[in-house]
Amino acid sequence: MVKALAVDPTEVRKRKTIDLGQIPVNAFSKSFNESLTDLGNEKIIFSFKTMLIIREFELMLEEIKKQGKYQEVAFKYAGPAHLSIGQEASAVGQALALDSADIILGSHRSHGETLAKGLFAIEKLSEQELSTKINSIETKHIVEKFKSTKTSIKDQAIDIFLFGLISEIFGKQTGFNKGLGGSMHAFFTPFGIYPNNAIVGGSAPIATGIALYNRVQRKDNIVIANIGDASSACGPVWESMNFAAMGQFKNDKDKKIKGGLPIIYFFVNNFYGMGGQPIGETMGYENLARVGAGINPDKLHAEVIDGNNIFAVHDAINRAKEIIASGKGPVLLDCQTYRFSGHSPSDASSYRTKEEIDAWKDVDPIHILENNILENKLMNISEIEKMQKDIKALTFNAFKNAIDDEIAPRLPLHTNPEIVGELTFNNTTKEIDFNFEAETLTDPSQIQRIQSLSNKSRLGKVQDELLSGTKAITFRDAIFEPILEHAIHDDSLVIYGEENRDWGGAFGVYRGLTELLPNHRLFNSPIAEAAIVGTAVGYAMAGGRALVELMYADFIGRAGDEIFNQLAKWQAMSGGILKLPVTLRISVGSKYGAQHSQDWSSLLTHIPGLKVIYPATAYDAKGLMASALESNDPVVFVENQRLYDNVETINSLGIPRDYYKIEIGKPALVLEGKDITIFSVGACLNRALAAAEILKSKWNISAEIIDARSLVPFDPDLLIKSVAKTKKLVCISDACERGNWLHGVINLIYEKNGNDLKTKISSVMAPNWITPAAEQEWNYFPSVENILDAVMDQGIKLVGREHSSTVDVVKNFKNGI
Amino acid sequence: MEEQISTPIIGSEDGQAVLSTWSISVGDKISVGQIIGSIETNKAVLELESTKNGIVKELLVAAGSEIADLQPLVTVSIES
Repeated sequence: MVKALAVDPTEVRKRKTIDLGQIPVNAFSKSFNESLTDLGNEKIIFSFKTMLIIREFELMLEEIKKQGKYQEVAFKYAGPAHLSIGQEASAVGQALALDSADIILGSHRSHGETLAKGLFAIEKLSEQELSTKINSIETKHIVEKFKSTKTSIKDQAIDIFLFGLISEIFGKQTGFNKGLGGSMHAFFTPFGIYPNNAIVGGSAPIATGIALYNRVQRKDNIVIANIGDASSACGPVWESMNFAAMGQFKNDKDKKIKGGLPIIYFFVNNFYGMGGQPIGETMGYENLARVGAGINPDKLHAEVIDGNNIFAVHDAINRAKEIIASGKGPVLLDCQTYRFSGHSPSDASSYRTKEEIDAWKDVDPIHILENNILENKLMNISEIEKMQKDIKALTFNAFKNAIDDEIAPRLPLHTNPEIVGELTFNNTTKEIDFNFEAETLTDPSQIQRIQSLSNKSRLGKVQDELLSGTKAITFRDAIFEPILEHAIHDDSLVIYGEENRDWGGAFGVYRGLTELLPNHRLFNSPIAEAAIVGTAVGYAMAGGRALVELMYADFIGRAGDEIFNQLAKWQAMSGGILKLPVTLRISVGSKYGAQHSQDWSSLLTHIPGLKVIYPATAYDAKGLMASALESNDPVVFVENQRLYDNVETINSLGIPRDYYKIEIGKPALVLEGKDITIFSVGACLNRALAAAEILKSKWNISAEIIDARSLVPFDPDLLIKSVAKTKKLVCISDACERGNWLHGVINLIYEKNGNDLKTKISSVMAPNWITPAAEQEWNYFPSVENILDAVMDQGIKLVGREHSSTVDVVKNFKNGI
Repeated sequence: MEEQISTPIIGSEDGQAVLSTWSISVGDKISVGQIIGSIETNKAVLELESTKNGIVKELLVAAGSEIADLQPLVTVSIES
């Protein structure tokens, strides 16, 4: 951190020991009467009622899955049911301690957590607040179809909430997320319930990102990441806890945001994954809470708590909230409980004994609380029986309506499958507001880089002289300029990634931003790609705008789930309710061998839900970065490191000084020609131009060059028109051949220009093996010579030139290369 | 005896760099490791360190000049 943290060898080399201290286990010791005094009758009875609702809800799903009916009404449900029967106290104890504005993200087994948070929010919100929330954009599609017959707003809200949840589980259009999330992803933001995750531990990075948003935006509500015990083995969970506890948060000078992130990692520890046992079998820790000691000196304030006792859970959350309020978060809670139900209805419990299950049924949290309530005369048996009967009726009512195809239809995907496609992107923007001044540390004009940019030529070539990158704006500068504008004019924008501060990113794109932005808006992340992308998803989900970076495309695998399953999917999985304005910068390396030079742009295009941009000129890079930063959709911005030092020589106007945008999805006509079309992806453009120059000067052949610029979306009209004119097409890409995005384009051109083409389309792509060392790169990536060969394959005679490369496609297929 | 201090190999794509400031003048006594100026590339501002002990005899480029990798920048009179 700007040379402020000295590493002193004298201190480092001293003999000493590290004291890990102690972690309390089941420290809660209050009697029921003490809890009764603390909480009062009403809250305890409401908690009990919520536990009963959760139990009934889960029993309903179990009956439907196992017997095809509920309360004698037949219904077939094909989807998953990961039930939490037995775990009700952990969900309810948690919700009891939370405010309606606090946020939870559910675990893999989340119905109980969702129900508890929602029912408590209804209980705590005023009638007016409730009325607004149940008539919001998030509920419009529910209340249009379903009318509660209840008179009070609270009872109506309960009906709508239960109906929305059951509808979602059954995949109905009246579900919270139009049935596109389903059982493992049902969530409802008006009550502070954010996405649950089918990916084990998937909630951790997203929840961490929401906590980051709360911190940066100086909000007081806290976030709970509900995650299972087995998720403690997952890298992204570990990365998230580290991210939340970063030392730089503790050292922030701004008192309002000083401290670790306001989040509780709430491990719902039921002692099993599906069947594997973390304690004693798949992990070495013996106690889950021990992992807190590996994160920071506070051990994340880790505690093991009795998850079958709502009061122990309530007490732990309350104390965690105090820790967070004092800036000492995050907190880890190891909430031990037990699921009586199997992992799923098909679970034969081959991994545990009946004796074990029975022993836990003896400490059923509902029975414990029921006995306390009866013994202390909060309710009598007939009142409890009536409550149970009412709950059955309440649940049945929601069930009956949710299975009624008139009230709760499915999205008509059989007649209009594109409905889901239309929810993939929102195609909206948040335009930059130049009148708004965001929080900065200094006047931008005082920053050395910004001064030198203002003195640089906007043209890369002046009177036929090519200017160096120190005299003219480069591709690197062009990316920087719109980022600078957004940093200055948008307070919701945070920028982070590895070495982003001080270094300005490994390739210096952000140089100058360190002087401009406070640490909380521009910071170094840990080397934790899953956390970088996953937290950006959460930050954006909460309402912010994130610009994050993976240093090399090769690291995509490290953030695989976060890019492929989280960033790409939540807009559609939310039924269009969530917006994810994330710009993910990814650079394609060169000269760094097999694990630092791969062009994975095609891989990114394979994932539905990501916009993928790949500019090749400085002019395009500036305009497309501006569009990416304004986009409310997730955009992956691919940068090829070969281009960073390039000045603008292609666009004759150079790079305008003022902010401008280029529409995402539109290719560019870079060179007009008549004899052949060369279609280029990314950094191949310069090689295409070099080939075109040789074709012109040596053989008087006029090549037309089109640069893709965007891969997803991509408007093919320009290319179709070009091929109709030239009747010949060569396509080039640095990505390897198998699964290359160009194959789809080539198929499209065969379909649209089949009658125009003189011969089959030629393509030049990297082969299906590793990138060799720097000195051998041009025996791997498409070269100018390869392009000239492809031109000859189009039947164009290049007199005096010998065709130098052949690819035996059939042989390569057979050999898997 | 005279020796020269040259631009280090900076490693930017095409050696594009500018000697942005000098922090020494002719006649100064300098030693190995001393910061004698700064170099600005597109990626970063780097400190230029002396690789010689001696007296500055001549600055071979003016501040603000573009410089190449391994280009001589300073002539130094080496103390015997």
